Amino acid sequence: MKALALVGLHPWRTCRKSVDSVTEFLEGSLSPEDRTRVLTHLKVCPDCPRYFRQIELTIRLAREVPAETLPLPGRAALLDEFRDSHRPPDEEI
Amino acid sequence: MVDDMPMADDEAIESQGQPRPASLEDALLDGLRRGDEVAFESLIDRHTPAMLRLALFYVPSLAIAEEVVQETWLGVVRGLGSFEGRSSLRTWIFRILINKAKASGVAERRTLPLAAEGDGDAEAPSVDPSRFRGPPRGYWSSPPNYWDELPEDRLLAGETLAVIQRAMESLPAGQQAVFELRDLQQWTSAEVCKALGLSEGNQRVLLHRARTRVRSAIEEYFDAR
Ligand SMILES: [Zn+2]
Repeated sequence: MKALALVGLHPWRTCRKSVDSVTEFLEGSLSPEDRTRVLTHLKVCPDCPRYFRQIELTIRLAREVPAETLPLPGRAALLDEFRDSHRPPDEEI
Repeated sequence: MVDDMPMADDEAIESQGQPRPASLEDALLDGLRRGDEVAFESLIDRHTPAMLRLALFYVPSLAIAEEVVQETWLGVVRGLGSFEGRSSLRTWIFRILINKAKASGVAERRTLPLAAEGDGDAEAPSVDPSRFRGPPRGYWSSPPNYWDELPEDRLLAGETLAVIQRAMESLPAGQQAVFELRDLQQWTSAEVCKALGLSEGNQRVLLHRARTRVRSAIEEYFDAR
């Protein structure tokens, strides 16, 4: 029983728990103890560091997706409104 | 703690931001004030996608979201004269959007509680559990493939970006709004929580789900090749 309790305190994190906490880790919202556990895990795990890098890379790539030019309905009307709002008042014409 | 402090809206949205590309916005604002239509159009193109995603967080359909965005731009045109530049142009525009979206959203309220939309499975694992071995150590049995080592031109190829775009578009509205604002627009978490009325924890769950799903889509795409 004692041994089991010690396993709970061991800084080891399973891969599954580590990947579940990647966002909390990147956000800096883990407790210092949990942060240490994740860092320790990342030092010894052959795969999780790649997963963490991939999450960061995913964010970077998503920023490269060109913003679609949306055919916003009413776009022409908006431009008219904009033009009108900058037309000099009648008396100045 | 800091997040709970009462703040005027302007300050809360403005104060904690990272450095932003202000010069482009300044140039656009100048253009707008001069009545430069090209500047106005480029502002529309620049912000409309994010505005639609954010509006969809409050209203139930794309058609209503488009109306909200449309009304927002009208509000921008009409309010430009009184905009004093105390907040950034973007902050000002998005504040108008959120007010209008909230106003429409009340009438059109979705049935789903928004904050609960971590897919309803906030506790669900990030990665298919079958990809891990059992305890005690639970290493990956099917580790992530090496797509991150592909050359930059493969990663940035149009086809890859299209996969990412589709993945983003298929996210539930809450995840989409948070991902858009946090990871694409680079708002701070305090700004996003405030704009969407989410707790820090809820926001983080939505962000986590979104990132996880988009990553998986990339992995699946390169797996299949
Ligand atoms: Zn691991």
